[in-house]
Amino acid sequence: MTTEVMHRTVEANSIRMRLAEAGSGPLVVLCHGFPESWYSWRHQLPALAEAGFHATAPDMRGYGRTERPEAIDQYTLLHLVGDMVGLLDALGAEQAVIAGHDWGAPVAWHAALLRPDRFRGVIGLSVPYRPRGPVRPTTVMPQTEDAVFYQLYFQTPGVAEAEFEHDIPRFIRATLYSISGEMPQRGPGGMMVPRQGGLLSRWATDFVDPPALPSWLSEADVNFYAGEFTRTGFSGGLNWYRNIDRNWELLAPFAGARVTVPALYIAGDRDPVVAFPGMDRLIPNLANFVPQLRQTIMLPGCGHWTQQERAAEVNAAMIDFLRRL
Amino acid sequence: MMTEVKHRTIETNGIRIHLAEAGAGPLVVLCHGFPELWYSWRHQLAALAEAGFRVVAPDMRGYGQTDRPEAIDQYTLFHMLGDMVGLLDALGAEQAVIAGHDWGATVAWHAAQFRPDRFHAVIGLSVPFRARGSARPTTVMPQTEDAIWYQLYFQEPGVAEAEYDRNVRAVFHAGKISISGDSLPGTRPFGMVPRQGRPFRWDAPAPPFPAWLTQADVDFYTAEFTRTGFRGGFNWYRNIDRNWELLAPFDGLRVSVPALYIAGERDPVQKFPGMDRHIADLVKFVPHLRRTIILPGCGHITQEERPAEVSAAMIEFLRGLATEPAA
Repeated sequence: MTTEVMHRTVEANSIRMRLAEAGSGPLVVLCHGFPESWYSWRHQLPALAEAGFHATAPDMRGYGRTERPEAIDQYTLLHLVGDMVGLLDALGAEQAVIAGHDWGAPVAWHAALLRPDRFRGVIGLSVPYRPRGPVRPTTVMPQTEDAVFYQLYFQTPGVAEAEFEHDIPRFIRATLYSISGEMPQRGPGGMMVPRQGGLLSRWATDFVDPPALPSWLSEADVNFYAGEFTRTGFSGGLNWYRNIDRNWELLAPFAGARVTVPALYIAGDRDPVVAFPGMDRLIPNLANFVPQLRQTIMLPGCGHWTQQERAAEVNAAMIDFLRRL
Repeated sequence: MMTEVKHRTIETNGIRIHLAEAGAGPLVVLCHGFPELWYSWRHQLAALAEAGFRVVAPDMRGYGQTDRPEAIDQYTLFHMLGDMVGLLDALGAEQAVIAGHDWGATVAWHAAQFRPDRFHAVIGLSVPFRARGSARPTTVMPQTEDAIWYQLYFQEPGVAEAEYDRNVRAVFHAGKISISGDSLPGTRPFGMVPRQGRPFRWDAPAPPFPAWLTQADVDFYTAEFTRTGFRGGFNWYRNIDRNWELLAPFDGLRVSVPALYIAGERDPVQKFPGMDRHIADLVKFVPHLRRTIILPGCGHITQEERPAEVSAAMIEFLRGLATEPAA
């Protein structure tokens, strides 16, 4: 049957890249975020295939069975978008629609920004297109005497790795639960990490290993992620964050440029990302920067793991958007 | 009457940029190459201003009175393109035509490729648009047991600086003439640098000035580079591989705006490895290339060697833009 998910490895942008793919028809590329895997699109691959599309979800650079270059500067947004252009070339596809979730969303938005000739539509989950700001991003991230924004905490190589890799299954369970729609209430700290004690010092308050998994997440799912990160570690994914300022520098030529292709934005209303500084002004005005934004869908009660928490609704919205292109 | 060239400094993309400007009208930005200055466009500033254009020639990043960041990775093509977009923003201009010579041509072609909404036409002198190759550039540059391609010689920080910084006047006198259409018969073709001994023959007697180069010109360049050194310019070359990596997203992307390419028939760049392919492919990647002009007898220093012909061709192209439908 056509919806079987197949795996293969291609060479794209000078790295070996592992793909999961299903179906045939117009190409849809699915870019996962942090700390994830092609597996985060497990519900979309068969649904899009059954709807008549060729869906492919790579392990992104630094993850899973895709290569993990050593040097931090090999993880800029230009490398990541280059990987996606290289993926289209490897598949012999002139065009694709590109979707991304979490960090995969900036990859998808920028792929559409930089190559509207190759990416004819874009779907962003959780993270909206963010126009380049006037200042170096890390200089304006929240920090107090006691705590720093988690993206600042991720900057120093080795620090977050040591914490996350100490007990990987527990870290995966807590990460997937704590910013999902099921997490009852987050403390006022939001996405801040204490300067003393690190992220895991917030066990039991904001970072919780749940007694039971939510309905959208199985033990098998946790085991899959845990198995992948036990093999690869977290450096590859964390290195994306370590290029935030470099990305900002390198994207100067695109200051003020708009995403011109048709677009869809979907997020959960309990996703901490939609409460990040500035998002309250950006999300309602997204069409200023993405003039062909067809729809913004806010899913009530949904948290950060959009396409995993609400597989059926996300599939339906994606397929509806794809069919109208 | 003589058009007055004015100077000022703007702040954009995190650096201070010095620029020379003249005239009023539609904006034309002029990007110089290596090792040059705004001054390389002195003839065009006047001619284009008199023809009814607002002309701006910056000292590019690393040169002249513009900032020279210390770190090598601050000299990628993306930084240069950010500077040019920032320049438009600082001037309050929605759009411009961008022209470039030598390394400045690479900046101009990619500015037009990346931001056709801001750069609505492009003029390249000497260096054509070059599509991204399949291999890291420095791995395929010529080298023999005895000599290496000059761009490889420029890679190691400090090495080329030591030679150039000690021989500034020779760079702008004998050196400049040696890559022009007036190079002396028997001049070794520019390109390969011997691995052993002196890389260049700085001690050769300076040839007499050709009509297009004066003592005052050599004095101007010599004074500026004596003050700044050549490091900023060399740092552009030290990002060739990094640029190649960062340009991966743009593989196969065309330059979609109207374009003009002008080069000298005796320009050594025309004989560079692979250049015959780039020039043959030019219309494929620059489908709205209006014209390719090869100037007989002209060398590398296109707009200084042939100011009248280059200015006339630029003005004709610029005037044509106003009357043609947009691409």
